[in-house]
Amino acid sequence: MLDNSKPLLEVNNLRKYFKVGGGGILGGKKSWLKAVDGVTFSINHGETLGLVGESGCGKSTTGRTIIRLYDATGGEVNFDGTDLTKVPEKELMPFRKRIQMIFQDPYASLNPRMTVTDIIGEGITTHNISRGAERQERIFNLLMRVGLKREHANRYPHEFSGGQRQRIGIARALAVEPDLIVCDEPISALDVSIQAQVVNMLEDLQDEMGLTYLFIAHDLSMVKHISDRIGVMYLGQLAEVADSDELYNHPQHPYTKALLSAIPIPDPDLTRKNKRIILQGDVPSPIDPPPGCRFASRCSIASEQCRRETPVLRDRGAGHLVACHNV
Amino acid sequence: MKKPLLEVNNIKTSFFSHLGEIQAVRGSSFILNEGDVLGIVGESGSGKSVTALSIMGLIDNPGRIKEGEILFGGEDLVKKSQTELSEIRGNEISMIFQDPMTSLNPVYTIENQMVEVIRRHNKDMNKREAIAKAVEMLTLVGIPEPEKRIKSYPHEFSGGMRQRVMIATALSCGPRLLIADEPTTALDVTIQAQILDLMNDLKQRVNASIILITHDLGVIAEICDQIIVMYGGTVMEKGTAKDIFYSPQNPYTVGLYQSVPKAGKTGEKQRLIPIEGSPPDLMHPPKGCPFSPRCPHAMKVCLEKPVPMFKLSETHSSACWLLHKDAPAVGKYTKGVESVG
Repeated sequence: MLDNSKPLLEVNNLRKYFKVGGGGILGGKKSWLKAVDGVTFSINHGETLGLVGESGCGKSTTGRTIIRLYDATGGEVNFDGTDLTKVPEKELMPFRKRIQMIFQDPYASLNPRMTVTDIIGEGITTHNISRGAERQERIFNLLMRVGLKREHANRYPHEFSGGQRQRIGIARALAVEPDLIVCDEPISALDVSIQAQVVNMLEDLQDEMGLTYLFIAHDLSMVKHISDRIGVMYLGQLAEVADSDELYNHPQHPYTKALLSAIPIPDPDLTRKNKRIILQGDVPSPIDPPPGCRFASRCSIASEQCRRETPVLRDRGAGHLVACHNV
Repeated sequence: MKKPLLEVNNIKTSFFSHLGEIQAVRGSSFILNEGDVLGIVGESGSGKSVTALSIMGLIDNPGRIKEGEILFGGEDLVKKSQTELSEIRGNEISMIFQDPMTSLNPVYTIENQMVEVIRRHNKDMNKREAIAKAVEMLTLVGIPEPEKRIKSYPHEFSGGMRQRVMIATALSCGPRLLIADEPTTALDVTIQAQILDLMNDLKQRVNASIILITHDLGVIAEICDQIIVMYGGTVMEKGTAKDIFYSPQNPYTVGLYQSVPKAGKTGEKQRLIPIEGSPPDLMHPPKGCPFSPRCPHAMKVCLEKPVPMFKLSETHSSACWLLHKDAPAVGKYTKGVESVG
């Protein structure tokens, strides 16, 4: 079945462009919004890769393109040896079972008219895993696995708190025994004290079931906590990829440095001493971006070359990849 | 000695819905001194925003301030009529909200909206003077080319820039108190850093006291002198930033701090210590301490008797029965402290 010597997921030069403007009765100029523009990374079995970046950097689009919620504009998504971008829609079913997703908003991602049993059981039925009493038993087990009770099975989503709903979403993802779970901001809608509950649970599940996570989030301290390796995205491209400790202790890309220094630390003495790098301006528009490095317009060390040539990710030793001309 | 600007005494605010009374704030008291930055930290439903709205007099039907007083410069705001309050709002107290996208009117230019506010509070100012004042405020908050940008509509600004416009507008009439309700929550971290930097800078340049409401301990640590921790509609602990972060004396404060990862720490993977359970239902709040159902040290008294504030020092007090002289010794909690009120 699984070949453990190779990475479980290899994303190669993945691109996803959205067409904006143009068409319709008004005509107008057609442009491309380059949400994901040449992203390459891999995830090993049982590993957690964190994908961080600010809103609009393409991290969620990357996740959604991997599971074929969007069709890629170009590039490859090799999952356990198969390029998912080339698999015809009709033959995707077995892969959908092996890759699941947990969504950000636990209020929007559960159908309010379905009971918990129906929500969790839908995948079990679709993939023909079990039926009848066996299916029900499986649902009970899943509920207990995520810290809920048997008697919750016949309730509706509105009867639960945000944290509990996220647990239902996790149980739904686990129901079909996936290999890879794409977690798209799974905790950012939750309260601080509840976030820790969910994160600990995700860690336990990974240990017990050998799951592999792609963990997408904007909260850097939480990503650092949960990930083995981290990829930092900026405007559709990866700026830096490294082991999480390495990335935090020795960031090399100027954007990663600024991003790290911007995190407020819950320690008054430390955070006030901390010299932060304040980036000027805002993230530019991803519609028809200029050539060269995407970060050049806000970068303190940008040179002429940066505005001309797009830097590629290069290994700077021990798997620490940086896309920058000047470091 | 600093003079108190705002004194909130045992305020209780409830919302009367068709399902019953939701007791959003159940007796919150604190003092804000002139020139200080006070942080109110808590999770959703802790009553931090309702406390701010009560101060602003913005509690609408079906909500009502049931009890308590809010003394601002010696006058009780709770007793004032809406007409009197609208003189105070904007002039003396102003507020900025979480979502800069929805607090600006999309069909008017920034100039229109700022001039309206400025002239509403300075009746003798003509339009040209008001525009000049608006441009001056936009310059203060770091908007490039303010003369040009003031003609823009809100959608032409990014989130961070919109929040700067909100701050400029709020400060344009020289308020003595600025209330910021989650001002950076909707923003990206690098933009949040810009806004916090701006607020730190304004703290020194503008002569206003600030109340900052947030759920983010990092943001609180960064700019607040005084901190109030709220939970289930009540104040759990109050003190200086050092009191709260370095010697917390309430299990909820400790729990909150332990549930966030400490960026910067490396090596051995630390495990987060979550607070089990979920926040109380404010329709039927617990009889005793609101945190007792989730508290690892809860005793019988915690479930049954409301907790008084125990005074630990001039600046630091906490509502926890563990501080009572008859309580068993647990962890680092100081025992045998006299209660106040």
